Amino acid sequence: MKRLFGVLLLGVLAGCAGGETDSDVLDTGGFVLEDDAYRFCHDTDRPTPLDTWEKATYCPLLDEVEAGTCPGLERSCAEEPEDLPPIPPSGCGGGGAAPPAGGGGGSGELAEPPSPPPEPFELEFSEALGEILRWTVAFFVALLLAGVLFAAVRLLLKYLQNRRETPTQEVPAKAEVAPLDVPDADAVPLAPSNDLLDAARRAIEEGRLADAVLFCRGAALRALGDAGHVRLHVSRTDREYVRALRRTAPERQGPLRTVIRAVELVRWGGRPITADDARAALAAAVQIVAVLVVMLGVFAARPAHAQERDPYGADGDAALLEVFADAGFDARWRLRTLRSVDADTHLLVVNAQDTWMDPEDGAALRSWVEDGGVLILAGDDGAFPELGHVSDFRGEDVRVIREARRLGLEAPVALGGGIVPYEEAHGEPWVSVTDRSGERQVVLQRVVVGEGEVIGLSDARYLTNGALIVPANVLFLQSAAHVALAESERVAPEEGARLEIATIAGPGSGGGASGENPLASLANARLLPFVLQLLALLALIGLWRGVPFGPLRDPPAEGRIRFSDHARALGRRFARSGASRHVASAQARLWLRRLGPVALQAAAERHGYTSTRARDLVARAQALADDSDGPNSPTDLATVEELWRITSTTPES
Amino acid sequence: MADHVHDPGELNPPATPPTPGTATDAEVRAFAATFQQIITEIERVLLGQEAVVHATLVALFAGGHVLLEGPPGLGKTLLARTISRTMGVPFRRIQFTPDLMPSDVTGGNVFNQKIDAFEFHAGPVFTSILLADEINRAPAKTQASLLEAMSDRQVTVDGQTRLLPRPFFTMATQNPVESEGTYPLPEAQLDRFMMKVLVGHPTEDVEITLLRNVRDGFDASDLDAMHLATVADARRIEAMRQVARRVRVDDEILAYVARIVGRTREHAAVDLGASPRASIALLLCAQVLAAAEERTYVVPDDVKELASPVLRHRFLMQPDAELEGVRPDDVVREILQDVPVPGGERG
Repeated sequence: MKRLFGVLLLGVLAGCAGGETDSDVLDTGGFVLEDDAYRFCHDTDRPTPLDTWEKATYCPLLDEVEAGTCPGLERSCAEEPEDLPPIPPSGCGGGGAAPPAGGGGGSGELAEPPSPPPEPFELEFSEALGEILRWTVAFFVALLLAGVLFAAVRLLLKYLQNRRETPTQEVPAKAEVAPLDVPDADAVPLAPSNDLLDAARRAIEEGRLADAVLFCRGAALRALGDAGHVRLHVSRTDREYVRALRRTAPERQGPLRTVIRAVELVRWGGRPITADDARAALAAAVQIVAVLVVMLGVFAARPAHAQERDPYGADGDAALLEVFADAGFDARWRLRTLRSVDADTHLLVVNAQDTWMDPEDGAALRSWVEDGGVLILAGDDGAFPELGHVSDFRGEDVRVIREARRLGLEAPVALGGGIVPYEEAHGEPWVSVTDRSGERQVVLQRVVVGEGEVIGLSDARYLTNGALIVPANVLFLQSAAHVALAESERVAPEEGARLEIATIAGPGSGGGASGENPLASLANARLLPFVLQLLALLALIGLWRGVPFGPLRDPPAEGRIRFSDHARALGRRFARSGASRHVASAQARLWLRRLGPVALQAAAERHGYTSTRARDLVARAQALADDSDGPNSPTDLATVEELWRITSTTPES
Repeated sequence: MADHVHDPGELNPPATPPTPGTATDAEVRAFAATFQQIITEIERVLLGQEAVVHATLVALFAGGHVLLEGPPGLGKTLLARTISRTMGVPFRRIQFTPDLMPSDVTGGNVFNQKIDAFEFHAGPVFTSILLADEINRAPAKTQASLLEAMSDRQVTVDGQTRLLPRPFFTMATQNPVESEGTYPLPEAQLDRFMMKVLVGHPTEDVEITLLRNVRDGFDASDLDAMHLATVADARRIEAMRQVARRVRVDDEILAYVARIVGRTREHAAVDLGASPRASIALLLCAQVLAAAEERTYVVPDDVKELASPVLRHRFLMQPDAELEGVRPDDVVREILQDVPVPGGERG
């Protein structure tokens, strides 16, 4: 059945390749093109910037489709190339990256546009929402940056002003002070420190020395609070702030003490203050404020290295999923490591240019293929020596020879910038091209490994969105997958062959988020710097504010003993008052709540109780806990005593 | 009826009339110097109890009495004796036992056959510094015999009132561990104590020093051998009390004291809050503390520092809260964290 289907499919595909069903082929490509995965193709408002190499690779393909099919890419190609770091081309160790001189020299058979242009792209609701969100985020980020910049400049100016003015400031000396005239002096620290210092200077100049020292206090406390050296609170006294600095910033203790001494004289002593004292307070406050400019930039996180490729850009690969899904596969991104591939996956597409494969991955893939898996491996240079080596770029003008059609594959359109062939190909060449010198170059071949097979694709660029705007390239991949799967006899496409794609977007062991351990996964996802910075920040916060821990279920031994002694003494007292049931019930309820019946029984057993006796005690405790309003009983106090004996020593003893 | 054979009231120095105005810098300096000298002398004998000594002296100069709570053997009696030595005032000790009678404390009229009349035999309460040891071991009526002495500084026996000497300072002790055969002090009695001071065990270093002193011949029962200096006398103590009373207290501080004490009446864990007597005690103690630190004015820190020893014994806890292990100190701490300090940060 599978073989029959494979033959039928080959026939269909061969027919397509013969040009008889060109419209079907192009319909497929058109359908795929409309997908959101090709947003680089449609989004004319934000054309994807292309570097020189990308322009050389993808722009010639526009000649293969009707004008207006891909307006976004057309606009990108029309713009000047951006000087982005070039992405190494497939299989190329630094080979020719020169743009093609005359556009794509691909298959002449597909030069004629075979299908009507797709409908003009309409912005979907989700995309519009995304656009709004992007602008909103950009607005707030800009606002934040402006705020930070403004604050930094302001702080710097104030700092410079403090340094320049205060030490040499001449203040008219006045022996006596004006009366305290700060109607809401308590609220003084709510203002920014530098404003308060300014106010203090003005107050000294105007002879309001009492006000001045209060402003100085506010400035100093506000700065210390902002720097986290003291925790400002309504219930804390000035001297407590001074004492708090002993641990957090002992060098600020002296200046703050100077300020506070002056404030106390004014506020609580009702004493006049001299100008010298006020100036001393101001100098101390300035000393505190000026050196507390926290350089947050020290801790500013270097942003994690952004993904180099936009999956929806021309060199991204988002369209791959649509291409294979459109061909009837159960296509999905591979989110686990390559080495964990198993029989549930029937066909695996691996872009070896973007997915780092170590020897273990290679061995696992080989084992999986030998067991019947089908692997489409693009740009590989070593995992399967049977395929030979991927060569450097060759020439610019190449043409596809007819063998591809005979094998039932759609011939691909050559990408700009030349071709990347196999050297010393050992497999069965399915597709080969002839370069300018007339030499035949193998670009796609098949090797049988065990019960499975590997389709080697020398040029990994065929797995990018840009290459897939050309219907012939779409069919090239789809037909290759179908033919390979049909010949492997593993599963028929109509049975839902599971195809997994491991590329930069569908991560493998090295190119994606998965890994052998959580740390490796974070590293693979390039989240490690962010997570480490987050942990460092949490550690700093922990050091600053302390680490909160939940209350212990069982109180510490000392507290338990103290509590038990207390409850016992209280119980006796209540018993004398005729309320033994009340205290016994409360005590039983508390211990049951804190320890629970099991722990209470275990504690009793540790104190020499037999299991039966311990259970009896717990039962009595539960009965007491449930019946706090019952009549007093002589046994109440005995239970209190028993509970005291059990709980007043540590369970370990 | 012949009485006043030896009326201890005659020992009274004339009460110094309060001097108007705020204490001067010189006065508080002298106060602080004497205060520190007393502490220095006491610490020659009593090691590792600086906080207890400090609090006791604050209560003494504030005109109050102090309740020391702690296990036996921590030097409570030694403290009382040492204070009396350094101040040159009489000292008496009463060991409270279950069979102690009120007349054993206050004294009473005894018939003298020679003169065919009753004559008053003064009890141990007629002294300047009284140590009521293990006060909770005596029944309530005996404890109550101290009420009048502590609050009014007088004793009434058989309808006749006799003044106690000045200063009159009671140091009572009680053991918090044992509960058998004890009679918890009634609330009215507790309220008479200006402070309840918790006496804790000394640190290991202090204990080693103590042992070394004993090895070298120190005998706590023989204070003469220590040659303690008499730093002050009864007149000086009274004068110092007057200085402390003139320490400036801002109206905001008064409001702060009132708010703190008022909160004890609203707290969920408290059944019966502190009385206005607690506010007065807190104010007087804060004044003494300020003077001891050479300040002519009280700052909020003085109030906060003294709030626990002054308030911890003055309110009744809810039974549930007691069972939950909430202590009066926890309540006071919570109140202090809740009540805004005058002149403090808002926000």
